[in-house]
Amino acid sequence: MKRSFVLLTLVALAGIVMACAAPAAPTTAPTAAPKATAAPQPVTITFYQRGYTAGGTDAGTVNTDKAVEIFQKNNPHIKINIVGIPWTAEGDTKLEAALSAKSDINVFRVTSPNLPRYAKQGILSEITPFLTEEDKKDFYPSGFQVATIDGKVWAWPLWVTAISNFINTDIFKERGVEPPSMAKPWTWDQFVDACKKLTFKRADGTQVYGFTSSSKWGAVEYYPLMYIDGGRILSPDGKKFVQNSPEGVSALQKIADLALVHKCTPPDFGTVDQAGVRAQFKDRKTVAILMSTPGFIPDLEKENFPLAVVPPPIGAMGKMVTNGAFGLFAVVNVSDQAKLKASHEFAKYLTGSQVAKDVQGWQLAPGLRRSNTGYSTNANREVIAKLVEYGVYEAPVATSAELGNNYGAALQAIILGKKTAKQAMDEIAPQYQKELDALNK
Amino acid sequence: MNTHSVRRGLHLIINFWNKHKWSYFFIAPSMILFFIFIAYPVAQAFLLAFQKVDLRGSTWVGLKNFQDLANSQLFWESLRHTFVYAVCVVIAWIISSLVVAALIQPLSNKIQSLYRGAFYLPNVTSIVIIALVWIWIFEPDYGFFNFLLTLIGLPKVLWLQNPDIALWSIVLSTILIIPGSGVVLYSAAMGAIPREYYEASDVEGANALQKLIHITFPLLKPTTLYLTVIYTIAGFQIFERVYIMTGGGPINSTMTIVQLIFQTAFSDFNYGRASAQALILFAIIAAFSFVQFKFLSTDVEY
Repeated sequence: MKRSFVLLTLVALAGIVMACAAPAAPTTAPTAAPKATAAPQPVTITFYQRGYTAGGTDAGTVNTDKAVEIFQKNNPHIKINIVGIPWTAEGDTKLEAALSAKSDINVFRVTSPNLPRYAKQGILSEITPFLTEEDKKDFYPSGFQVATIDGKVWAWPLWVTAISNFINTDIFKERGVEPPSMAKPWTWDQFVDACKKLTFKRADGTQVYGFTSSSKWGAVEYYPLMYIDGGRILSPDGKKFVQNSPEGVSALQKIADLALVHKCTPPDFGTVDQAGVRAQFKDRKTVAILMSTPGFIPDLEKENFPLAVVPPPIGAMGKMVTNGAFGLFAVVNVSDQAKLKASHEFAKYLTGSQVAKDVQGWQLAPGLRRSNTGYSTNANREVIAKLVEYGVYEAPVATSAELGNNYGAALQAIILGKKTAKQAMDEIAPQYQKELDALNK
Repeated sequence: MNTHSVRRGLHLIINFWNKHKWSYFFIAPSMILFFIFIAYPVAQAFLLAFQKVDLRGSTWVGLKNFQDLANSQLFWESLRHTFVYAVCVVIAWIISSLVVAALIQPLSNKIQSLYRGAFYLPNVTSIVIIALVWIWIFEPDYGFFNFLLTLIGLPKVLWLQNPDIALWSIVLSTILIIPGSGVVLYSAAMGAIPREYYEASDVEGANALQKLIHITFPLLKPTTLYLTVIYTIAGFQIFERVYIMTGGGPINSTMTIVQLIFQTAFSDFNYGRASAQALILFAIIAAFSFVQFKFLSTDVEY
């Protein structure tokens, strides 16, 4: 009973914060850029940064401190207060509490799934009035696409964690398999043949598998493969669920067949998390090809792992595809125009090419500005940076966690052979569409 | 009410206050904390269950959160999984702790204490660590269980990856750790049963099974009731193990009610719906506890 109270208390505590929040009406400050003044007044803004620990010595904290220091030096009238929050659910809760209490928060890292919710609830300030013509030309269209809700852009795009294939070159040499390249990517059939060749048992009994990827719901990293035949989850406007189309279904069935028909994936494929597949690839070296995000590269580089980054295979669509999560900075809509302007200036700096030059190691994934080439410091990173151009991304839609669970379960059912791709997608389609219809009312 | 009555009432209150004020003073800190951190949040959770909450504030929606739950297949699935887990775990824990307590009963006091300590040890280990160890035991390629299976020529089992058996694997990982609290309590309760009852039954010619059924079990009923209630509550509140070992998957096959509450509250930030789920869990646990008290409670004192 005591634990029940604790749980209820947790839920209720969040409610107290809500209850203590200001009245329901959203801040109605206009988002138009104010006219520049000759002597800018001093302004202090609060920056919620994920993974930041005041006084910490980790790379993320040090880089954030440096970026803030340089920005303040170049903009002496702006003072930045940094509030560190973790990347976990605890961080999400702190962020939500700050936003709902309308406490001091001006700039924060926003995740793609939460962006539409914040935008629709009037929390955010639109970035368009603060974009110059140069900015508009510099950003890749995909950067704006994922931050656009109801025709307005609500966040400054920083980077995309473009997913690619990481290969263990030692295993490739051991099996005599020639890796693909950006100039000569594999077709799906070539990819399957290679995966089969790379699945073998060593003399010491170690089983090596051709391919794997994080596939537990919430950290799925085989997304690019879902698009290779021209299918996608939602229609480009985000209003229709379309993955039960022949193109969507065929790609999903191909992914499942890697495990069910070709048997070139580890037995836990379909349910394994990111840490699990990374251990298989890096520590145990029992996987030849890992489809993953660029965040894993520093770890592999540090250990001199025999790594080559190659593009995902090409399917029926006939061209390379990548996908990934976006790093976005959002600005909270406040009535103080000086604060609002300073916040946008700061967010613009954090997502620009200058910060990548000012702070070595700032760019953990390819930038979404054409001018930002700070990420391409070696051949492997260059492949990832080039892949950004081939990105296919879904429109931002705030669906429920329950729908996410059920959709994730549908993907798992396909890979585990419990349902065909067609059957699973046809079953989830009505539920998905019902939520989309409700959101678009 | 006349002046005399008012005076008398006031006099009683003042007397009561003079007599007990220090008692209230001393319990005040814990009562204040109780109201701030338990009573008020629980009342708020009750109110939130009837509201839609977002960053702009909250609006009353009546029973909508409960209606949505009634139409949610995932909610019913999570209830079913939780019920299966709780029933299996309560039965297994009661039986295993009773058997272990019975086995150590004939031993000397020192040896009994040693065993009680040994069985209680896992209780002080973090459930997170226990769950992480179980992940390794269930690992498909390198796990201990599959190693044992291959030794006897059986195929490997996908303990946590196969949706048909993942929930049973979690049940197995729970019941294989015999609860120390049950062993300690049963052991103490058995030790407290007067020897005269057994001596009398010996005179009547009762065998060991008859003694167990007619003397030991009935006299252990209060302990069994207590353990059944606390194990049922623990069973319905299964969370950490599922969160760490499977996250509710695969294919939602291990999704339990508390895992769902956590996701609804802290992934979806749908506090209204999460509160409704928590209220339903509260009602279920209260109902089970009531039924258990009704059927297992006893007036036997010894």
